[in-house]
Amino acid sequence: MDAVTYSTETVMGFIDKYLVPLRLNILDEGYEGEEYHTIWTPATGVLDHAGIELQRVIGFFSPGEFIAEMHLGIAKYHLSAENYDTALVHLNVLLEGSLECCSVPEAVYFRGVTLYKQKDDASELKNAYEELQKKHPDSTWAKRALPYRLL
Amino acid sequence: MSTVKWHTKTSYALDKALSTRKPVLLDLYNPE
Repeated sequence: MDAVTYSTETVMGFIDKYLVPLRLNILDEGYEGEEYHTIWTPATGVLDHAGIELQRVIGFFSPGEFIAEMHLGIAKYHLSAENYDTALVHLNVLLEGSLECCSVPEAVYFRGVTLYKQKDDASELKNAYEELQKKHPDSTWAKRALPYRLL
Repeated sequence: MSTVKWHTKTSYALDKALSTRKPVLLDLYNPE
């Protein structure tokens, strides 16, 4: 990750703007990350200020994939804090931009969740279901959204 | 090679997250 992702100006600028970076060596004698148990590394997560983990990905990512995954994690942070407008900004960057990303279906799902919570309007969940069926029908997120077809 | 300026203490990073209203990027790594 250092050689491929973290050393790029784009990623360093992104992290500096949106995140507080914390790196823990799992082999350190005084390792502080027991509560963030991981079965494999690199493991990259997004935490809130209480240390609650909101997003985790395993493995190596290109700079574009990393930024896309982090937009999703940052959106979940703001969704959790009920900052819906800011969550939507990050989800829309992911969905409307040219970021290389495999997490687009998850972003569609969480945009529906965010809009539902923002407007208290269940039709937003159904809209997300319909978009997933149309654009990402084979994704796990399309299956997870199936109950929303009944709304 | 320049890279990210990582915090290595959880409590410091969480305090900074609270004061800046930014989430924490957690990187768990094995140097071996």
